[in-house]
Amino acid sequence: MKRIPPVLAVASLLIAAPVSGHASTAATGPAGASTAPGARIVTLRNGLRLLLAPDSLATAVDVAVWYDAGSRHDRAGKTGIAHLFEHLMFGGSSRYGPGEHGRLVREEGGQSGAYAAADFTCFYETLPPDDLELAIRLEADRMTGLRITQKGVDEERRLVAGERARNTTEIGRGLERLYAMAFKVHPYRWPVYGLEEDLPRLTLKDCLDFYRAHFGPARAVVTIVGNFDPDQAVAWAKEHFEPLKDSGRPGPPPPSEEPQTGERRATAPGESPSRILMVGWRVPPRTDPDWPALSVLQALLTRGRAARLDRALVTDQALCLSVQGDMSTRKDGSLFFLAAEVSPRADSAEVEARLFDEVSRVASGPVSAEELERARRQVETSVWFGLPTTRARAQALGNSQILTGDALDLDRQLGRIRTCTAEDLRRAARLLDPARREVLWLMPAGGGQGEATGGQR
Amino acid sequence: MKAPWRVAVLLAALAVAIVSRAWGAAPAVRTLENGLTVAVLRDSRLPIVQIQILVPAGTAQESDREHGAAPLVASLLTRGTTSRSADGFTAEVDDLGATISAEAGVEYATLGATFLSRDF
Repeated sequence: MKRIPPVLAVASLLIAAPVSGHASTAATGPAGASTAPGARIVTLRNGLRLLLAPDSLATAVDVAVWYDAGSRHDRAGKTGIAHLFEHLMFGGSSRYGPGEHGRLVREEGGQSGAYAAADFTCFYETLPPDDLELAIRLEADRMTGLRITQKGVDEERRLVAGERARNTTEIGRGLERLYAMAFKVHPYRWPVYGLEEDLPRLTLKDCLDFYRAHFGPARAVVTIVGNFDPDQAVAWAKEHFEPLKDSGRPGPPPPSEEPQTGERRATAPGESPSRILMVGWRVPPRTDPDWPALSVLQALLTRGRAARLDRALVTDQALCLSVQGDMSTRKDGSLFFLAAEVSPRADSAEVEARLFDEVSRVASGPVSAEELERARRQVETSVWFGLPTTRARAQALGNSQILTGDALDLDRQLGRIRTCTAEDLRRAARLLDPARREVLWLMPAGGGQGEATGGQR
Repeated sequence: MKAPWRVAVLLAALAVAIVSRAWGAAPAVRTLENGLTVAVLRDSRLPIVQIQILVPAGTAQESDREHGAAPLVASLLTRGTTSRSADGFTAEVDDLGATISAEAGVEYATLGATFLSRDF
């Protein structure tokens, strides 16, 4: 069984190629290719949505259940419950013992895994095609039949405690800080792992309440991707999932953020052996018309050797060792972020100034046709190159459905990315307003300049 | 580099293509007049093409006086040719949004590329 660190689960189109969707081929350009050809939705009587994407050339079938249970449902003082629950879901039921679920999948040569994210928790099995019914049976079993005990909660709490420290990187922890700076009232301000001090406060009753409220069929999505017969899959899904009753009551939606009116700054000493400048902007979610242009803008700034920030900070002047960035995309908003690892002798203020200058140059200056085309292609290829396996396609399809409510969204995004203009890019760049940015410096312990001395700040 | 007849080129329409042989989609294999073996597997699910070139120039082919030569030579494969500078080559790959990789294994050095079908 594989557990994926939550930080990796937030990445956007650029890094994780997370998106999805079958659409009419008209939206998908000359090749007429779709990221999920033939995908369709079947809704069962209890509200459970099945998202089916058959692929007769695939060697495996992937079943994934996407629950409306993420850190966006966390409450103050009780953060991290969605992530703890991801662990509890392997604790067994009245029909299967603890860990038996994973063992049954392994015995068939399959793999299973789970991860909690801000907007959902996902459980999956990738199996030989003949084992589709096993996956459906196991997932139906724990959808409402999970056994949750005090002993199980205590055990998993111990396991979860060290997980954040083991699985996060400097940039990942920096991203958590940027979220905390950019979101003041929305639960996105808390890490998906939750706050360390909250973990001991999560009780057995909290876990039972969370299970009843967020699991169950009515708001869940089941993706089935790969080599399977859709009619047979629907028949098994009806047999195993349809008798399940929903007891969930969705809580009120998370509060909305007020518009930000001034730059926010923070310094985190001891977080990195060298100085890392991280900058973030809260930008609209994937359903927004500007989102594809923001993806292309991210590529224009950070993807490839000719990207503007690579040129300005790494190649032309050795101010930084590397520059990276991404758009972390969530249901209620995205975080556009950049991270630059500063050279030991470079001046921090100069790095900041050059970086912000490059961002504003897109908003007000020219973008050549060649540069635009390169950036559009970088995004497009990152989508296609990210879909080589059945698991990756299932991931993209489910992400699309959860984040946009539209399983066909990835194909549409690709269409918009291909037709993104220089003017679209300028409009997107204007969203990266100095008054709305979060500026975070990850610093070496003791406030030094990094591994070499002699720099100035 | 060994003689071309010991070089194999694998063309696949995408990454999963190689796996799908297990399900009956057999690759077409031809040997060209110069000895180069080419295997082609068509898979139209994604609009991308993958090429792998396998050259029997891995670390097992190094003589006692050539330790390290295989990875060194492999890494030079993406650093320009007599007709293209290293920077020019990287820029062309970047412009396509493509990826190119080269590495030496024990038996083979592998040069790989992934790009959009429309650039094939």
